[in-house]
Amino acid sequence: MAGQGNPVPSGRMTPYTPKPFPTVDGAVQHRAFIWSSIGTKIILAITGIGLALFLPVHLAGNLLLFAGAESFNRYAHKLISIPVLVPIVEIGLLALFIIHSVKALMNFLANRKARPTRYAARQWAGGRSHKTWASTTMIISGLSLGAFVPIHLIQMKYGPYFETKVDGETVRDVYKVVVETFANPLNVAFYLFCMAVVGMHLYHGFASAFSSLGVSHPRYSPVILWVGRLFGAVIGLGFFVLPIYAAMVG
Amino acid sequence: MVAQSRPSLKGSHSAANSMKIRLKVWRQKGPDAEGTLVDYTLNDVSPDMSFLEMLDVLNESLIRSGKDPVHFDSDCREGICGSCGMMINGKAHGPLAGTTTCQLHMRTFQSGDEIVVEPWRAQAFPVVRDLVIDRSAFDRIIVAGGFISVNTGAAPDANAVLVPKQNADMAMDAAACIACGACVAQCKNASAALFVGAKVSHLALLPQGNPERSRRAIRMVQQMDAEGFGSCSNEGECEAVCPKGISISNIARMNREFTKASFGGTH
Amino acid sequence: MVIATPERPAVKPAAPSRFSEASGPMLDARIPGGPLTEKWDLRKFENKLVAPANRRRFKIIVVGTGLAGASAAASLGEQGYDVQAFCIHDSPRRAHSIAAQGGINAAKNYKNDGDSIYRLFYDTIKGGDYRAREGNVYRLAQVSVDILDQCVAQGVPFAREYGGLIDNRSFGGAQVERTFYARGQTGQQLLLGAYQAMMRQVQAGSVTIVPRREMLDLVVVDGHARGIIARNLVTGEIERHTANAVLLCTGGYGTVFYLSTNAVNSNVTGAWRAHKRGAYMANPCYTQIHPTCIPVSGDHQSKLTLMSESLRNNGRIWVPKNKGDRRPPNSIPEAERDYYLERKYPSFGNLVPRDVASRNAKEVCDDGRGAGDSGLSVYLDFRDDITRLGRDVIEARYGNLFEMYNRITGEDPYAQPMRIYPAVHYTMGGLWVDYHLQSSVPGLFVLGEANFSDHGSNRLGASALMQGLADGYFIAPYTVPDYIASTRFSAAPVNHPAFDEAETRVDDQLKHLLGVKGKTTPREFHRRLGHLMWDYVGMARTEAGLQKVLSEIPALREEFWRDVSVPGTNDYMNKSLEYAGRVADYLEFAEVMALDALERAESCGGHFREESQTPEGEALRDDENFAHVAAWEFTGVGTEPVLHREKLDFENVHPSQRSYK
Repeated sequence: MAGQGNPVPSGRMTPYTPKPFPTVDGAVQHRAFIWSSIGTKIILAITGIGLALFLPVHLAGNLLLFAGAESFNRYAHKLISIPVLVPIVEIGLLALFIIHSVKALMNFLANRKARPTRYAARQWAGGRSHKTWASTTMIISGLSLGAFVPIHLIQMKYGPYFETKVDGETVRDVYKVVVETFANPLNVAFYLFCMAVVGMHLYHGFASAFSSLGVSHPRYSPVILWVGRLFGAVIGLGFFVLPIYAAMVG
Repeated sequence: MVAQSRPSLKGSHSAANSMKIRLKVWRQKGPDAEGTLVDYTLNDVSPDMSFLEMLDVLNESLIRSGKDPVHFDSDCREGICGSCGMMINGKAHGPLAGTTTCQLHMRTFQSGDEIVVEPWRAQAFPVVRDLVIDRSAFDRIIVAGGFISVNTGAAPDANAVLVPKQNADMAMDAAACIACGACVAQCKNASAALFVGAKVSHLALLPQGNPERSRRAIRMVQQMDAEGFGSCSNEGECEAVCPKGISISNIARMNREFTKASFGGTH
Repeated sequence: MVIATPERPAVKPAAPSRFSEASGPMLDARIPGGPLTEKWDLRKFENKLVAPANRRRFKIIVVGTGLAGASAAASLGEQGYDVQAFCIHDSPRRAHSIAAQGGINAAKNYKNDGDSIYRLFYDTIKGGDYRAREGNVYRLAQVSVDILDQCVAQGVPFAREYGGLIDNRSFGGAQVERTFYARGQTGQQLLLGAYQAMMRQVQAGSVTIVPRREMLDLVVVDGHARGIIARNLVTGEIERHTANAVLLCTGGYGTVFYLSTNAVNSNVTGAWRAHKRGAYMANPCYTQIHPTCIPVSGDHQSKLTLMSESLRNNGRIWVPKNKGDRRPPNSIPEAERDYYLERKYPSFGNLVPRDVASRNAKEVCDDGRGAGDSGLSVYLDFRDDITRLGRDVIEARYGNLFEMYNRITGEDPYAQPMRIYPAVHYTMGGLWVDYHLQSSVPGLFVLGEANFSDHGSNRLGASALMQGLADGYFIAPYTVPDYIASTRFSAAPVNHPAFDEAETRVDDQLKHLLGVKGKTTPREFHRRLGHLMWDYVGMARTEAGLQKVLSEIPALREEFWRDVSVPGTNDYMNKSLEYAGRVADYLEFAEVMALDALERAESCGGHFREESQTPEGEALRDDENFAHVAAWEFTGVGTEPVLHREKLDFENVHPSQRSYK
């Protein structure tokens, strides 16, 4: 700017200088897709959907708990006996989990930075907004799950090793692991809390992922929203009953 | 006869329906000064006043006593220029949906109400003074690519390119944005996705905007990120406070445009 | 719509002008010779050009970024000039052009209903009540078609038909469908088109946006406009900006009335300060009053909101027959209602032109028959058409307007009649410019509503947007380069004495305003000035009233400088200081406006002198004495300005008397 004014009088506040305008080739700071805000959200969406899709499979298997120790152990044994697939899926899930966690954390920190000063008074918009407790606590529910998953793996997958016989074959007695774990009321409480958190995370996250991926339709978007919420509720409730049942059996 | 053709100086509202309003207004002398909420009480507010006219009344009394008035931006006062905007009790543009601050009237409130008034808060919208903020980040996003490249005089006949009515209507829905910044203010992430999505959509929906849609999407999003806005959490708070009801489907469209452009678009 | 009567009614002899001696030679508007249809082509060819490689060396300042300013900045930037665009807002997109609702005219004849460039020209001249230049208006009609093409190419989402073609409609009583629109937000969309075109040039590096700056003086070096003094509205810093040409695109002066449909920051300051440096002010008395605005609700009111004129298509206008009848409208029986427009103008009824509708509303209210608590409104009643067509039809047509009305007034127009009242809407007068849009100061160009040129004494609906964009896209980009190419520029660096002088003047005034430390707010003075202007220089003007206001304005001005209260200092954002400066300018400008209204002892278009009317109460022109432009030259605050005249020749259209019976 060609402003050639008076010398700056003393006591003046810091001069106000807005940022320069972007030019044809320069100035627009180029970030790779994965580091852009939209790229980040799309990666979160894809990894989130991947992780979410694992849950119904996991739940379906776990519901065999109701069928008794033998069925459950048979299922568990067959599952881990599938060659190649299981390790691939496991590594894949681990990758999804890590990418999702790291990206979510970075996204959260960037978003915090975007509003350094909080409001003194705050209200939700209401009306057409679909902000919920679930949507406002995604980082909290996410962090909780980030802590839950390793604990869960340590307690179950890498937990105590008992043996039992199924169809004449010696297999790991996973049923017993479950029952013994939930014999401890603290574990039951911890799992119930975490399953509620999973439900909440999905309650917002499922439909949100579709929006991030650019899925939008005047008729189907509300359907996706409610399917997502239902999905969250079903998964949450489904996993909710398992510790209770296990505790009761034990 | 001439003297009758205007209202009396006393105004038309009777004392019976005048309201008492307690305000807590953010006061901050300059971009780098400390700010604080200051209490004011107005005893004679007419329900017919707009919110800004109520602030005018406050300012008149401040000026009369030689004090600095509360600074806020406003211009057209009919809800189209996008100048005005403040957080009113924690909600962008106040309690009414589809309404700018200048179109919000005091009859929406009750006598005795306490109203907290704050500026839009975002890293990308620094406070200039009191409730005045710097929204030039929006201009820079438009400069990055929010236009169709056509020189004056180089246009074909207006009817040379047909535009399906549905597309024109959807483009108009998106183009109705007034760049007030309420979307950013209300969003928990201070995201500008609705503003940028609206412009990307408006121009991508028209055949005239098609040739540079990839370049436009990439550059506008890059600039949006460079300005320090947050990302979109798909809560839809922006749509709910948008005075023009711009739909978040425009954000989804922007995401598609940006992704398509990032993987194989020419830009 | 206008029925010409063969013989003109007898014209009342005009009062002898005090200015008849002082006027000097007629002003030369530099209108090219030759037939009407070829004038502009001829001039474009005659104009000198600047070679592309040289353009970057020339700096052009554009003040204001509304339709005229943004389109001029974009177009000159595209040509390669070094353009700086100043605006008082935080963003150039907020200029008040954004609030225009209705539409833009273009002589496309897409409806095959007999429109043509000549018809648009003819309608505009006639609509302007024969007080506009034929040459300018014909050019305006010619470029109207290019404007529409340009806007469509920029992505302006005009309303479309199902076949994909652009839709258009008839507007403001025009007999052809030549108005193009984007919902009720045409101004917004056209402005965003121009803004985006300008922002593209920012990216290209040819335009610099200088926001939150107010032009406070024009710098004239060796008789040429060479720069401006601007105040940084954030830091208070006074800045000097040099240029080879200055384009003022600062809009109209409607807020001299305090309440108007203009934005609260709209002001005359840019134009007035240029006037004080030598630019003539032309026809300042021409103001347009819009009949369908939401009435004033109290003294707190800061602006008036316009409601689309289209409401008059389905609403019937009435007031109680009896004076002082304050009953709620629904309890006033049919027999006690006076549908005064239908009664007085049987063939046009509620659809009479704006000025006629406005004056009649004032008349009935002055008669004590106005509606509402204030008695300053008339009813616009949809009851009959809601019954006849059904509420759904009315809601489909006007739903958003009804909602807006309800939001502002708290009244439900479906259940009870709307109340409306006229409000100042547009000012046809402005700085005098020639055919090149150059003012009487070489190098100072004036575009859009800020100039006086194309609307005569009354503007047609949907013509303001057309004129702003015509000036910016298609006229200034031809005439400004001609000026640059044909001028030998002397050195005018920012340390030139003319800059020192101008900055001192600006600085002194700001200090003065801050130093008064009186008891009355700038708004209070503005409101009082507005009341004076509305009462005496409003819809109907009389010699006695104008004499009276001319004696009261200097007194108010004197009181302002004695008792204004401007808190704060000049080294940071201080909106009271900005506002006080604008009010100070209005207190000077109002005087020349009233003087112009007094001097023009005829009625024409938006200027109605009660002494000059037909037996039916219509505006009665006096073509013998007033077929001219009155251009005022500043001689000092409080001293009488010098009147220059520009003769208006009508070679193609012959002036006739309007009649709406």
